[in-house]
Amino acid sequence: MPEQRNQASFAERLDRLFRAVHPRGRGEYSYEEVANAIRGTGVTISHTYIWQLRKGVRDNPTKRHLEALARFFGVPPTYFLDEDTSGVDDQLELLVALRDNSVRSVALRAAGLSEASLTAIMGMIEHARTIEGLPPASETA
Amino acid sequence: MRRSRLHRACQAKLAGFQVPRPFSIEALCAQVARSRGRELHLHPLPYPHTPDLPCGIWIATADADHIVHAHGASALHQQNIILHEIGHMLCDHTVTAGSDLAALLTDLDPAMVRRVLARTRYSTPQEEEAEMVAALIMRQAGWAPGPPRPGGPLGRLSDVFGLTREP
Repeated sequence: MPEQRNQASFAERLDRLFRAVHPRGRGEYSYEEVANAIRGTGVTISHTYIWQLRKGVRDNPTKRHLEALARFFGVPPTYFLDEDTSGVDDQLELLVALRDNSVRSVALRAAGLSEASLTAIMGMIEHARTIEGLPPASETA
Repeated sequence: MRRSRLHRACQAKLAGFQVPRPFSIEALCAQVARSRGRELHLHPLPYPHTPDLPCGIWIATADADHIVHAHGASALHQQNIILHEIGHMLCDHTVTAGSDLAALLTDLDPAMVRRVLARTRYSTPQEEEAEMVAALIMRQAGWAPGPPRPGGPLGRLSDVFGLTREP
């Protein structure tokens, strides 16, 4: 159950990012793609090293590598450091729900929405999908 | 000045759209669904409405449109919530309004969000357009505006279309 959020390891956090952050209609970014993009910003990194970080074979990356990975996946660098990442994780979950439920658009007035409302909106998306008789998001590739 | 330009633009978007008579939200939804060739589902908000929840959401999936609406303070208010979302649909706002998404996904890099959701573009004037279209439908339907409120016509519009927080 997602309710239990023990402090995740670096590898687990990086794994979450790989799974959540990729465009609609394609699978995860490959290690080569991530390494190439990061090298494009002037930071030296190998795809093998990124693989090792994700698998937990290596941990304790340099600040430079940590920041580069955070930048690539579009999260604040503190995502890898903070004890509680539930705020960012909720947002990543909603992003995935929008993507995997083929939500083309959502129009709403969102000023001042709380984190609780992220969950509510996710619920609405799941509900809409159920009405359409489509399988739940988790079963979608 | 700006308002009248918006008015003209929205009237143009409504051109050719027949507001059903006799008018009802159900008849309007059926007509919108026909003209879009997609099902349109109305859902009451599955949660008690709290001030931090939006009072109306239009969710467009690959196959259908969904309007999730709060139970309005009055029947008129509730119909206007639904009309506003239909306004978005008729204006073909087939995008995730960026300002909204940014307000939801505050910690994520907007460029990354656009990349992941691919079809996303940014917008805010869309809210104004949706409201104007809702107002025009009301007028074509021959509905009287809501009861007078302090603050003149603009205040009334804001009130009817939920621009301001409910008390």
